[in-house]
Amino acid sequence: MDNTAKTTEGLPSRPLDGLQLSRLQQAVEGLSSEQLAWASGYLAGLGAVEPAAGTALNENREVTILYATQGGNARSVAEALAENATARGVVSRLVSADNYRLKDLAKERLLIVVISTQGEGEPPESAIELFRYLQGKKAPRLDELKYAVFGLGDSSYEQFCQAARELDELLRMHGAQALFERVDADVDFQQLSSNWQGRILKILEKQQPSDQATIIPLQRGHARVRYDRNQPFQAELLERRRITSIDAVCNVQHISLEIDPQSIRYRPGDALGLFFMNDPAMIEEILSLTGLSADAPVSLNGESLTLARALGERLELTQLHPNVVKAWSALSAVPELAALSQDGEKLRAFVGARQFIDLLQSYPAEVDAQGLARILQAQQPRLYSIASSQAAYEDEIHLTVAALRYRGHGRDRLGGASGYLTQRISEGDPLHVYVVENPSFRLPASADTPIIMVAAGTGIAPYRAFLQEREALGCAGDSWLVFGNRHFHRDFLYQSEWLNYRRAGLLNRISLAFSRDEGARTYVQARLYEDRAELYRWLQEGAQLYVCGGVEMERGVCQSLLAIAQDQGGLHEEAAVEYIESLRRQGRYQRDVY
Amino acid sequence: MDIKVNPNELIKANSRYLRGTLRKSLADQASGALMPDDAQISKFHGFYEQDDRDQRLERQRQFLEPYYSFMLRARLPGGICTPQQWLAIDAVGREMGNGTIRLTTRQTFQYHGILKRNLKPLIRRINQAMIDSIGGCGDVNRNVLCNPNPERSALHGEVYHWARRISEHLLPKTRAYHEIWLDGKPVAGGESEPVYGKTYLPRKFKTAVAIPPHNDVDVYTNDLGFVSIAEGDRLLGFNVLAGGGMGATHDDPTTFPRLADELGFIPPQQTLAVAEAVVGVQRDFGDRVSRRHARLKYTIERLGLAAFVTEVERRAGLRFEPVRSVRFTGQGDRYGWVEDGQGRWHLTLYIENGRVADTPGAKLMSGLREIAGNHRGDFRITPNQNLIVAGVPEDQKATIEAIARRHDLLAEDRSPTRLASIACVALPTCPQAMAEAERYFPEFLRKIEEMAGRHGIDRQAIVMRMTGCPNGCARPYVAEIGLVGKGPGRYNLQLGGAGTGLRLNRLFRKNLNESELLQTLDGLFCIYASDRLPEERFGDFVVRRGLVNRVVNPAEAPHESA
Ligand code: SRM
Ligand SMILES: Cc1cc2nc3c(=O)[nH]c(=O)nc-3n(C[C@H](O)[C@H](O)[C@H](O)COP(=O)(O)OP(=O)(O)OC[C@H]3O[C@@H](n4cnc5c(N)ncnc54)[C@H](O)[C@@H]3O)c2cc1C
Ligand SMILES: Cc1cc2nc3c(=O)[nH]c(=O)nc-3n(C[C@H](O)[C@H](O)[C@H](O)COP(=O)(O)O)c2cc1C
Ligand code: SF4
Repeated sequence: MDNTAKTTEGLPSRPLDGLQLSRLQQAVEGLSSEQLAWASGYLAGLGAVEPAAGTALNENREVTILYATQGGNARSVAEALAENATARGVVSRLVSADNYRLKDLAKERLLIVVISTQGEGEPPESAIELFRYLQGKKAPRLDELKYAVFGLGDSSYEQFCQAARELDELLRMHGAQALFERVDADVDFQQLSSNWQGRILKILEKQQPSDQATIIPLQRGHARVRYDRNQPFQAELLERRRITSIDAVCNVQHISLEIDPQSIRYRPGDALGLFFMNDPAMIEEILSLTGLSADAPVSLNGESLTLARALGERLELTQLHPNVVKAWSALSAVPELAALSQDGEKLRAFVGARQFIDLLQSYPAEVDAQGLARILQAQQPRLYSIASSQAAYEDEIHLTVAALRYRGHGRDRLGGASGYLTQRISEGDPLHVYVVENPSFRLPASADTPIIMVAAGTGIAPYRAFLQEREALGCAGDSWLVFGNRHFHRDFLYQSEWLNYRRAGLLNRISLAFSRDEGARTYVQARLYEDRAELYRWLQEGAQLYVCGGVEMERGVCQSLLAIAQDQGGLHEEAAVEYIESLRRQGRYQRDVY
Repeated sequence: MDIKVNPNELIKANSRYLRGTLRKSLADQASGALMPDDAQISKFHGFYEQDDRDQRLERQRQFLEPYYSFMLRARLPGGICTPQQWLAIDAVGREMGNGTIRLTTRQTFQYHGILKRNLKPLIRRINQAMIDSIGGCGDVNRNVLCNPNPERSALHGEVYHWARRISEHLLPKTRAYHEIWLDGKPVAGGESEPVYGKTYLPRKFKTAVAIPPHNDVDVYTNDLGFVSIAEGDRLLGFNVLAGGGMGATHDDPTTFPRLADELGFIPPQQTLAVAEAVVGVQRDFGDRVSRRHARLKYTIERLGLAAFVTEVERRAGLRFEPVRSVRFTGQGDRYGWVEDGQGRWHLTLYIENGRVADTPGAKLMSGLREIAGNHRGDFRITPNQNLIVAGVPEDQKATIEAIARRHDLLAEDRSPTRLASIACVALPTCPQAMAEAERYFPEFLRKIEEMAGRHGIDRQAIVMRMTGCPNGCARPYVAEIGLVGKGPGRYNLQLGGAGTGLRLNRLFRKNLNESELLQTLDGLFCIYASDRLPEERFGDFVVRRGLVNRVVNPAEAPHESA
């Protein structure tokens, strides 16, 4: 994929993979020699937009568009900006934070940053180095630099767009000047993003030196066939089956989708974004509570469809967003809600375990179909780590989905996407999906590098892809699985496969932590510490460490890694921190946390 | 070693006197099972790897390994334990097993559903109660049966003492058990197995001691049998029997149930020498290629009885005296109270299928716990899966009886046939089961009782035994009516046992489902009701009427009906 081309220093013998090449051939098929000459110029022009990463900048006033993404949103915004810039003949350089050479920063003149926030107010993995650099002593003065930051976030999190905010401050602190106010975009970022792009482009055009050869304004859009959030691929459900025993607390299911290998390529570590159908029962209830009719017409950005369909597949019902509460309070004019809307803290607590249905019930209000459609937010696609390797399953994608169940405000709740995937979808049903690349969670470049795979719960999914890949490619590297869940007998996910891999010699070590087995109660981080001698040996021997799963688990693991570095490496605290940091810098400590 | 030799022989040979890699297997958290070879070795330590067969397919679909757990079988010669020991047995069963205790047809108890990580703690616990599981299973001498005959305590005491000594004498001498489970120190210097050698026996070996006229131990179905000969309460010696066994394989004529041959009479002090000699012959002449033909019964068929006897006499350095005549009257238990002539009382309780549990219906487990709390004598597990509260002083009778009645532990109000019948464990734990037994037998009996009632023969006890497969764990081939599992819901119908354990029955009809069984038996009950002689047992009747031919030579056509 395009960022494989980006990461390689200089041009490899053939930068395109087979698929890309065939696409290119299709694209130029039947062009006259004259047209081909033109096209080659055109392509060269595109090339100039995305030079190979790390190639030092020559002293021009080129603009760099830097993005840091986890789920692909920031990237899509950045790409759109780059395209429009190109269309206006502005030369820009689009680069992902993890491919950005930090010492270039001092040379930058114009820097546009699009960055999302992850974890609890943390920057995406790809931007961590950039942040450390700017926070560290080696950080350069940036008096020459002008910049703009577009933040993506979700105001239902406590630290809204924290990463963007911090980066903004860091840049200013080092002397850079903002072109204009940072923009913090919420989950519905499309509108804000296009306004913002407009403002950026005006400025860029002014920046543009007249002598700069401009490129014929052409949209790259149709030349590029990549299914994404805005253009998802329609996959089909092959099979779903429960893989935790009936008495297990958590209903986890194995989902297999059929895809077209020509159109969908993915790599171990990637996630799948998908759209889902809301629970018909919930839609019924909403309709009866509002007294609206199922086939009342509504229009969602230009498209007109029935209310039932809009509620079913387009609008967000199971995550209650603060903005929806605000909008609803405006409508219902309930003083209580009005007060709530003023207090972010209270508001977040309020939406916590609630769904839109609760608003309707507790604070009834008159609303017409279109009004309802406007108040509700567009459905957010959900992400799931891909649990298969395309080297083993050309035309399939496997997911490991845990049904999200919880009780809140007198109701049993079921997550929207996980509920659909584990309870309602049936074989043969279509599902709209797109691959979310995760360059910061990848198997080692070398087939012989040992890997340590740490996971709790569904965090184990990508490791199934890892081992499938290593088996298919006949990789020799040792591997060690560290897994935690509740009960050995109930939810040791994919147990029989791990045992087979062990028999086959592909998996060398399995360490387990079950938190609810009496007698044996323990957690992953504790288990890691028990195995510290072995773990440290593996790391010293160059092993690559992966952590995937929930935020708390990851934090715990990080703590015991520090403890292990001190205990085994005889390092004092700062040194231990630095040790872990260096692992991360070398890409030997990769995390995929949700 | 001969390459043809059975794989189990190599496993034993390489096990360093039954250590194998058990420690490693136990340490592995990723699987609830042992490594395959250790699953064989574990039997010598008294436990079997099993999995819940009800869950197999489902778990396979769930990418989960089978639900592995272990069955542990204790060694309890003669089935005797103290109330204190029972309390320990009970507590362990509740805390570390599946919450039940299973009394077996060999006078001991089993735990089911033990998780791998609980094995060691469990063995340590029962060890604190002076109970072990060495040789509970495996290719060695198994738990030694001894008629729990309460009404002649003096004689029983002496005979039981011999049963214990046989058990101890034939116990494996390896320290593996103590090292692995009890953290015993490895003994310095080379180990040896004076009786067994490092490959032990070709197959399991079973010994029973009977006190006539009771044959509740089914002495003739054992590899080695001792029938006590007494004058009053004084033990004169034993008639020695050898070559009995039940196990067979469906439709394999080279396998068959067989009753033991009578070798001759010996005085008590030669008991151990003879036991060791018989074991020795089996060790050296038994089939180590085909486990299916490795039991002593086949060794004797192959050597010929005369040759076998000579070899035993040579090794034991004695000559057998002619067998003394004895009379056996029955193979079942005698329920209720009996007095032993010394003012002490004994109460035989009824435990259906030997399954001690607390169910909504009956709180057997709690009941026995309460009795153990009040009891000062001992407990005796019978070879029919029941329990005797033995040695109760007059003034305690009422208390014990009240507790027993409150917990439905008494035989009263149950049909004679039900009281005379047993079933093996079978599903869901037994990997060999082809059909249900324990879980289904009680309900099947209800239908039989109803039928017997219609024919007016419900006062007559019929020894009926059901097993889930032809291995014969409930000794079905010496029952008047044997039901041997053939497939889900299907059984072979065996007829013609004597009710005393002295005659094998014979296959009557193959592979019948419930309605076919009931129909067939209905017909038979009908003629029996009309044509039976006074007091004539059902098993004797069907033979006298030639409905089945008496088995003369067990080796001949055992799997042909009629
Ligand atoms: C518990 C018990 C039946 C019961 O309901 O009480 C039993 C249960 C099993 N027997 Fe048995 N046998 C039991 C008495 C018998 C008897 C009766 C006796 O010994 O008086 C026999 C017939 C006599 C004989 O040995 O010939 C018997 C003949 C077998 C056989 C067939 C042996 C043969 O020669 O073919 C097997 C299978 C094997 O050994 O390969 C077997 C194997 C088994 C196993 C361990 C199945 C297995 O191979 O994994 C069963 C465990 C089931 C479970 O989940 O508990 N069991 N088994 C009895 C325990 C006795 C004890 O405490 O040691
Ligand atoms: C990169 C990435 C990879 C992922 N991989 C996987 C994977 O492999 N497998 C997997 O199962 N999931 C995975 N997830 C999580 C997944 O994306 C969804 O978040 C999850 O399935 C829940 O979505 P949903 O639509 O079912 O629930 P939603 O409808 O989104 O409901 C979630 C909302 O319910 C509320 N809520 C949740 N729990 C509670 C509670 N205990 N008490 C009160 N309120 C609560 C919260 O308001 C929360 O916002 C991944 C996420 C990311 C970001
Ligand atoms: C695991 C996780 C944690 C998040 N934490 C925050 C947060 O702390 N603050 C915030 O404003 N947004 C948070 N978000 C919301 C994302 O920033 C938002 O969905 C954004 O659109 C993602 O952009 P991306 O796809 O480029 O990563 C979080 C999202 C995820 C999946
Ligand atoms: S007879 Fe067969 S089914 Fe019954 S316990 Fe024995 S081996 Fe299992």
